[in-house]
This record gives sequence, structure tokens and C-alpha cells, in this order.
Amino acid sequence: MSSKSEKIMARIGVYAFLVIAAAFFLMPFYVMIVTSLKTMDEIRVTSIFAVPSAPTLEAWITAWQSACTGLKCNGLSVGFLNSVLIMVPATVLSILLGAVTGYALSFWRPRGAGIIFGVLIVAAFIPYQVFIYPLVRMLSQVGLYNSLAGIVAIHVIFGMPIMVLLFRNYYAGLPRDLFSAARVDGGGFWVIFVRLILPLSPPILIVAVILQSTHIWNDFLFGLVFAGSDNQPMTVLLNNIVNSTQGEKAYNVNMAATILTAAVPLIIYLASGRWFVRGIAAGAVKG
Amino acid sequence: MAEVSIENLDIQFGSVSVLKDLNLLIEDGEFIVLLGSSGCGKSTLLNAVAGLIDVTGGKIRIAGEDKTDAEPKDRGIGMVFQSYALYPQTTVEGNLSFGLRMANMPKDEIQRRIARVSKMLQIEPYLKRRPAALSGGQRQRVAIGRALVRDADIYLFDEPLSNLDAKLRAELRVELKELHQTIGKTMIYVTHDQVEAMTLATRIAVMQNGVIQQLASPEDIYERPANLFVAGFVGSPGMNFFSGRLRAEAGKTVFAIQGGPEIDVTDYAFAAPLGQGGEAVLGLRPEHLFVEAGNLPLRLPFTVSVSESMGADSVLWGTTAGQKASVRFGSELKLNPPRGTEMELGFSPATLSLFDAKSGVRL
Ligand SMILES: Nc1ncnc2c1ncn2[C@@H]1O[C@H](COP(=O)(O)OP(=O)(O)OP(=O)(O)O)[C@@H](O)[C@H]1O
Ligand SMILES: [Mg+2]
Repeated sequence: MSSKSEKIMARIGVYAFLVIAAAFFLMPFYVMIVTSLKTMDEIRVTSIFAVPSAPTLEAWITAWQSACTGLKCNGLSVGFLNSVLIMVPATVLSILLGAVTGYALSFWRPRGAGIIFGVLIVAAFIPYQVFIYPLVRMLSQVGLYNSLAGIVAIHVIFGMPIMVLLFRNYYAGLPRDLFSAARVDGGGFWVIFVRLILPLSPPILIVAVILQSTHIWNDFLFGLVFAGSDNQPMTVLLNNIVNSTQGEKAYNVNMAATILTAAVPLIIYLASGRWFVRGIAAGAVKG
Repeated sequence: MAEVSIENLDIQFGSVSVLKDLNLLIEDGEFIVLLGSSGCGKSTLLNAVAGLIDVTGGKIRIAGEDKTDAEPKDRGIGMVFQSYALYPQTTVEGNLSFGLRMANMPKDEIQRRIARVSKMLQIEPYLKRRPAALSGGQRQRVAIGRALVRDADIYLFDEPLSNLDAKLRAELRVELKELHQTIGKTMIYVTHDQVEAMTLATRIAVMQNGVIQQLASPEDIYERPANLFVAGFVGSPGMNFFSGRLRAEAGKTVFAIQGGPEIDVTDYAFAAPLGQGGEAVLGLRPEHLFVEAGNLPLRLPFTVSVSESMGADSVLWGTTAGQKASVRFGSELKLNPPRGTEMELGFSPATLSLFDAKSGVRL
């Protein structure tokens, strides 16, 4: 057996696996796209794999503008805006807080740093549901229940453990001498953070942005419980559209609405996958 | 004036005590080397002087002022790290100016200082480069430069040369010595390389387990080690140790090597008058034993096992009265005796050291 033909065989095997795996994940997506482009009449009579005979964007327009989400019939567009208004501040705030806390824990090592870190780790593993009722009470006490600020605060709080963990571990990989040198050079807490640590953080910042933005965008439970009817995110509206009980199920609209809701995280993943892997793989900074 | 006075310094990490009741007075303009094996607390002591770690007890005074709890930047220090610790996100120039910009120094003053230091260290060609694009030696020069632009009174070095190859290390060592002579500032330098210690220091502090074993000039450390640890730590190959007994008889002092000859050590400069005598250790540096005994007054038998040539010098390894011994001599003697050769070595009483066998202290 020549090793060359063995290598070719191995390569064929790898590609075969990749193609099958890709098909497995792409098939549902394909079904969703073709279904969303058909009329209900066509859906009823053709196979789910059939190519639409006369593709139409009607279902998409309905999903965006006029599908009924409970009592209102304004489509997903309102939810899109709400989701953006929740995601952007919650992502930025949770990342900043996580970065500063991780930096403080790994470089300044305040008394009890180990305990704080331990508590955060444990908190990261407690199921969310446990906190919901007490948090509802607490937020209504301070008047934040059913408000944009409230849902942002909730996302920031629940994002803390994972963000702190992420940043602390990344900073633990930076040489401590770098920090010592900056202290000898006269830097204080914030100056060192802003001038030395943040400029070294892009790889992990990218990872954090991806994790937080997609996670917050995909959230359903917190949006449903805490956001209030005026601020419901896209996921909640999607659920309302798909699960609306009146009339026949508009599969084409449901498919279009689902793709629209998933589009933002999908685009984030596709655009940043390369950076994500690079950020995860980024080890200590050598200098 | 920038003398550093360390008084009764205690440092603990949790329950581990790293430095115990340490006292060290460093004069203005001195080049003090902290020498010791790995983990003995050299970096800890240096970091305490820099203010980078909390001290458990004791005081650190710089130029007479109590700086025990002062911030690193308020201590008038510049520091060079073993890992260089250059800021990777900025250029060499950015590295040099980092601290000055944080102190809001005027631009032209920053430029002036960078120009002066980069000329002194010959790093002008790399000012626009990032640290990642520099060789190890260049990086270390930049790291030294970053400390120098601060115009500090005291410079701290933590094994600055240990990541470099032997040739570069020797070059930079000489440069550092010149630098000290030029600027005349107080320097505290951590190393476990005894050549660096011997060549650079005005005084060496030999440390073991968080305790300074001896603080003296390189010559004293080498010629008159204060105890067995220092004697064994400094010198390569290490000092020969022969155990035996000391006794005084008829106006003479004699050291009887275990299972070997008696040596007349009457002319040895005892630190304190010898009382009863007793178990002791005789120390002799390999280069103070001579293959051609000539008219040297004292003699030792020696059986060769291995000979080693190290370029300019050669070393014979073997035994004296069953105890391990080595002799160093110039290679020009062209001596290569076969295994088992018996010979007689000569030495002078001025070069030997005697230690108490129990306490290890120099007699
Ligand atoms: N942050 C810390 N927590 C606990 N122990 C520490 C800490 N830093 C240092 N030590 C311990 O203190 C002792 C002295 O450490 P130090 O770094 O001063 O050694 P060193 O003499 O500089 O050694 P080396 O030559 O290897 O650099 C070591 O035993 C080390 O394990
Ligand atoms: Mg060290």
C-alpha cells in the first residue's frame, strides 16, 4: 500500500463526512427557504423539497409588516427594533463590566478575589429559572420591571459570570510583568486598563461580542418575562406569530419570520467565524 | 542621594514565609547583586523594593524616606524585567515614552529624553518598530531604555540577561557595567549567574531560603566565604571540601583530613581564636591547588579519575584521601594524566578556608 493512495482515501473520507454533515444541517434551511417563497396553495399540494414554481416574497413582507403577534398585526419589524435596542446596550455593558472585573481580579487581586471568582463560577451554573421570580419582585421594587432598562439590566447581570470568566482567563494568560512595568511607569487602575490592557484585548473582545450579542438576541425567556409588552424582542414576537391559533397555519409566513429572526446571529457568525476561532485560539501575548 | 534601607523585612504569601527579618543597607551609587538559587526570594525582595508586592512586616526606606507603602511610581525607581515586558501594542518609541506620557511630561522633554537614551543604548534604528520585530538583545536594550528614560534614582533589574545567549549576555553585561559607571545611579540586580554577580557588583548579597548569607564585595565572597553555603554556591567548579578534625598542639594548629594527612594551618587567619578544635571542613578552590607543587608549603595527595579541558583552563577530577576533589590549571601545562595517576598537589595557607562542620560558619 503506498502511503499516497492512503492519503487520497483519507481525504475522500474526510470530504464525504463534511458533505454529509453540511447536507444534514443545510437541508432544513433549504426547506425553510423554499417554503417561505411559496404560496399556501402551492405548499398544500407540493412536496416540502419541491422548488417553488413561482417564487414570491409575499410571505416575507407579511412576516415583516403585517403578521399578527397577538392583538396587534404589525409583523416582526417592531420586535427587530426592540431586539436591537436590547442587544446593543446589554452587549456593550456586559462586556465592559466583565472586562473590568476580569482585569481587576487577575491583576489587582483584591482581598477575596478568589471567593468572588468562585461565586461567579457557581452562579454561571445555576439554572436561570431559579432567579426569575425574585428578580421580578426586585425589578418592580425599583420600578424597572417591564422596561427597556430592566431587560438590559437583566442581560448584563446574567452575562457577568461568563464574561468575567472569559476575561479573567484571558488576562491570566498575559504576562504579569507587563502589568508590573506599567505600574512602575506610573499607571493607575484605569490608566493601565485603558492604555495597556484594552489594546491587548481585541481577540477576546471579539469572542465576547459574538457570544453576548447572539446570546442576547436569541433570548426568549427573559424577553418574555421582563421586557414588557412595549419592548418585546423579536424572538417573543416570532413565537406569537408561529403559535397564533387563529385560522390555518401560514407555513410560508412562519418560515420567513423564523429566518428573519435568525438572520442577525447568522450574519454575526458568518461574518466573524474566522475572528472567533482566532480569538479562542489566541494564547499569551508575546512581546 | 538614593540609598535604600531595608529593615526587618518580612514577606509572606498566605502561610508561606518567603523573606524573614531581612536587613540590607544599600549605599547611594552602589551596584548590589542579589545572588541565589531559584526560589530563594530574590525577585520577591526586588518586587518589595519596587512596591509591586505587599510587605508583611518591616520597613523600606529610600533616600531616608519611609516608602514601605508607597506606590511604585512614587519610589523613584526604574525596573527591567526578565521577560522584558515590553508593551506589545506600541512601538519602541511608544514603549519608551509610555510612562512619561502618563506623567503628562511636555512633548519636547519626552523627545529629548528618548533621543538621549536611545543614543546611549544604540536603539535609534528601531524606534519605529514594534517589540515583536526585535531580537532578544534589542528587546532587552529597549527594556533598559524604558527604565532609563524615567531618570530614576534607583534601577532594579530582575535577571535581565537570562533569556539571552551566552555571547550576547557577555556583551550586555559589559554594557551594563559601563552604564553604571556612566550614570552612577544605585542599582539592584537579581541574578543566579555568578559570573554576572562577580563582574558587575560592588557588593554581592548571597541569599538562601529568604536569608542573606553574606553581603560583601565579590573578592570577599570568593576568597573568604562566610559559610559553607556561600563557599559551595560561588565558583565553578565548586570549592573542594575536605572533612576532618582541627586541633591545637604545641603552639601549632593542625587539620587532620579524615583518613588522610595532617595539614599545618597555624598561619590561617582565624576569625576568632580556636578553642578546643573539633570537627571542621577545609575548603580549597580548585585553582588554588597546584599540580606543580614547587615551593608551596602545604601538600595534598591526589588520585586522578577524569581530566576535562575547557579551553583556556583544564580541570582534573579525582579524590584526596577518598574525598572528591578537583584541580584547575592553565591548559598550557598540557597535562593529561591517565586514570589512577597518583600526584602531589601544593597549596598555600593564605588560600584555604576553614568552616565549622556543624554550623557551617567560617572559622
Ligand atoms: N505570589 C506568590 N504566592 C505564593 N508563593 C510565592 C509567590 N511568589 C513567589 N512565591 C514563592 O516565594 C519563593 C521565592 O520566590 P521568588 O520569585 O522571589 O524566587 P527567586 O529567587 O526570584 O527565584 P528565581 O531565580 O527562580 O526567579 C518561591 O518559593 C515561590 O514559590
Ligand atoms: Mg526571580
